[in-house]
Amino acid sequence: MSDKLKIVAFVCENHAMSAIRAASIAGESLPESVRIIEIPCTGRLETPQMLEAIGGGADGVAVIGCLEENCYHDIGSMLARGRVNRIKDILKDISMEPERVEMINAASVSGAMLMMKLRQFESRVASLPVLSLKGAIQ
Amino acid sequence: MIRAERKPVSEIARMLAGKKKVLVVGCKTCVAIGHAGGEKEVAELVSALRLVNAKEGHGWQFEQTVVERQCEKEWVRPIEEKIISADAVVSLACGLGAQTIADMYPIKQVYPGVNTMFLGVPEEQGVFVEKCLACGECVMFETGGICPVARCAKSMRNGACGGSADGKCEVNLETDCAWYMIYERLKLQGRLDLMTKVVEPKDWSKSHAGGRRKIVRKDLLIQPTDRTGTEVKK
Amino acid sequence: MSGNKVCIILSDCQSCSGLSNEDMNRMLGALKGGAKAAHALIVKAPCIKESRKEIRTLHIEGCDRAVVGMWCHPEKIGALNWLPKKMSPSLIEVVDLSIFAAKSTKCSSQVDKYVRVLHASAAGLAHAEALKDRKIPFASKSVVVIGSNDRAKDAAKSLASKGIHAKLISMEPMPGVNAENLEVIDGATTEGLKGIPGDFRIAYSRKGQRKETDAASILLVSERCLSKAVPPKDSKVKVVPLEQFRNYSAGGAKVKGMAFLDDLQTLTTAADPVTPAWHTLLEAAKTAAANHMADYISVIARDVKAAGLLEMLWKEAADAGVKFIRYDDKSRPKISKEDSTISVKDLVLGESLDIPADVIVAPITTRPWEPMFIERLFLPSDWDLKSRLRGPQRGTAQSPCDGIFMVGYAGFNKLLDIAEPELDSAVAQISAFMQKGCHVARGAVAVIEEGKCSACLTCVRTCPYRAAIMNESWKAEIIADKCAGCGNCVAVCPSLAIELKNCTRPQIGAQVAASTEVVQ
Repeated sequence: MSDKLKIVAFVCENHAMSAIRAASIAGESLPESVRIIEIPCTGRLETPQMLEAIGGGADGVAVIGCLEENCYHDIGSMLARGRVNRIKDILKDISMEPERVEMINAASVSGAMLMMKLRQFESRVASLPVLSLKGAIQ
Repeated sequence: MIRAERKPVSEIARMLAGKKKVLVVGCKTCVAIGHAGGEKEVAELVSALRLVNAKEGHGWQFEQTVVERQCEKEWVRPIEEKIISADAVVSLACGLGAQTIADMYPIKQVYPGVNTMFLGVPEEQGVFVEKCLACGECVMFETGGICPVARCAKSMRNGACGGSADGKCEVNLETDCAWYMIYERLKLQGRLDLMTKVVEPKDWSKSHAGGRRKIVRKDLLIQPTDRTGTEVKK
Repeated sequence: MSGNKVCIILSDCQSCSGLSNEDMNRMLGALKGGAKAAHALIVKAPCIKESRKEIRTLHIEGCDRAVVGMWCHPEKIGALNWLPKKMSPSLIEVVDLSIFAAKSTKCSSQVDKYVRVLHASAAGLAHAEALKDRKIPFASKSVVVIGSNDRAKDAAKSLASKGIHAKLISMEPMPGVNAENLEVIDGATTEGLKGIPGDFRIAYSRKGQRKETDAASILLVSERCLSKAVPPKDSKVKVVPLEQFRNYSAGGAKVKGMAFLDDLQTLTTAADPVTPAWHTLLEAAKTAAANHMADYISVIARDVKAAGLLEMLWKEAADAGVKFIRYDDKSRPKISKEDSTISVKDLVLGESLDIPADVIVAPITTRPWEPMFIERLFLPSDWDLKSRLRGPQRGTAQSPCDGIFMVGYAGFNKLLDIAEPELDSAVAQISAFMQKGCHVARGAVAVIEEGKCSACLTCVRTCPYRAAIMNESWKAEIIADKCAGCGNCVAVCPSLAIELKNCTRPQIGAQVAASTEVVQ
């Protein structure tokens, strides 16, 4: 297993992806550790998928969606936040760090803001003890 | 319908200490619709337990399934092989379903994955409110269709207790005082005379206070037997 | 991982990718080595016109799907009609690798990252299904323009001059409006809307008769709406539109009272705490006070929005001497007939305040539309938030309500000077829309497995597009033409009875697995 930090980011194809693209055009790059999975809406994301990302070796999971008052599909990022909080409760309950999963909201033009938040998330996850999972999650 | 809440994952994990083959069984009826123990929650629990497994190295192997109604033997029978080959069965059904499996396979360790809470209505998506206590003797015809047994914290039978203020219950300020609501309802229906009627104390022997209850419908019994009338037994 | 074999096509734009020949070949080697890819090959950059034909006619034996790695955003090249034509569009995924390029570091070290991205896409694509776009040709060739003002007239004429058959429905009489391709239906009020884009049927009543007309698309041109507090006839009060305030001058005379009045339905929607109009209004009030335009200067509003940047403005205005007065929904300000005052009843104190107001400055905005359009466009219909806050973010030309174009309104009223420039843009969009000639409901759609449905109603309550309904057998069903493919229903279904094509659980799972594995 590589000891490089791995962050899986579930990114909605609307405002979140636009923000990432805006950042890229402005010359900012995604942090090295972030691997993107594009989904139609963060509301599509289910709790087992976030858990499987961690079990599969991700040190952190970021769920990046539209601003809640402006979700392209109305309620998606709001529902996603509820599920991220549910995962945080589960992680805390099983003695894992709830900081490993985070909801990040972005406006479609706020590329720089999003990159900043991602870097902050990355450094927070990097400061946590290394996840040692005995064997892969089936 | 029956409302339940999943137990904390850590509590379920502790139950499974020392086990190897774990079967997680959900139910498609009440707990599914209540988002507590259906196929979705089975998947979530198994993912969470896999994470615990990867972290703590228990060596658990998971099998997951869901049945139509866990409280009926005919629906449980088809998954018999899975039950028998498991070291532990975690049931996400209500207490009825979990016990059905436990009673059918008494040698098996059957663990409840949820806490069965109450009979509740979905007031809006994600909000479930208790409105019936299954007390065995429904009296809401006298209270405008509002149950004073379940919706009053003290199950008062003859009006408000005097502790309510601004229409809210003194036991829980978030709850509306049931008798305040009953008064408003009877006023709306023009039946305020019912408020002055004094009724006798409730016969609690008809509720669970009298022990576990049983209904026998002789007209439905398949075994040949005396079919005169029906009988509610204790 | 199981699933179909995916071909990975990498474009070689060395200038855009910053990769050398060796890097490209190394990348190709790593891509070929992955278990996901059946084939991996490098093609010449699609921004070169000649190479597009080569890509278009590409045929890979045994492969019906491909991930195409590009080094710029596909939009830069234009329409994606250069993709391999032997593959279904729903089985081709175009990945813009430029967003993963770290501008400051050496590109060669990035190769692992690009390979990982392409492998993850391929993993997801391996489980995709070929989906057909649902093409529904337009049944009507007309555009209906609804509005009783000059702007609506101009828009209808402009469309007609482009050769598009335009029908203008106006409440007011429109005498003398004649042009080829233009049908005027004046003195009419719209009453109903049925149908889908390309096949709308609008019911209206005119001279006591109810009629129906057809349209492929609709343009709503908002009406001017002055602040609700319009002075009674013969009143001495002068009303100045907020947008014209900077040109206003009392000719040097100082008036007794100047009131900046908001409109209940424009500036104070809680759904929109900071609209542009508030900034304009506070600036204007501050200016009036600073220039001593009146003895008594007030801002009369239902909710004074002072969040964020506005807080400074509010303070500056207050320091300059502006008085802020609040009114309630239940006691709207009344403009007096006899003298120049506005009376506002304070519900808490039970007292009536008489505010001097020789001049009222009020915003002119657009008014919200009839319920049938609000419903169709998912606009907030209840300004007091009793109903859902707002609907999904629909632009003027996005399914599932392609075809209804708005000017001057977007979830909240707009000031007229913002609304006006939108008209030309809307007319241009409508022309493009009409040229398409068919309504394309795209591939992504949610599908319910009826046998698994437990009729819990969760998807029906959740779907932002009202695409989930209960059918006659009391099982949930998705109306495909209304589905926007967001997948919210999929995640909330307790019975896991719904899947989103092409973003199924196996697909996400495959991508998660590919994202976390180590690239050798």
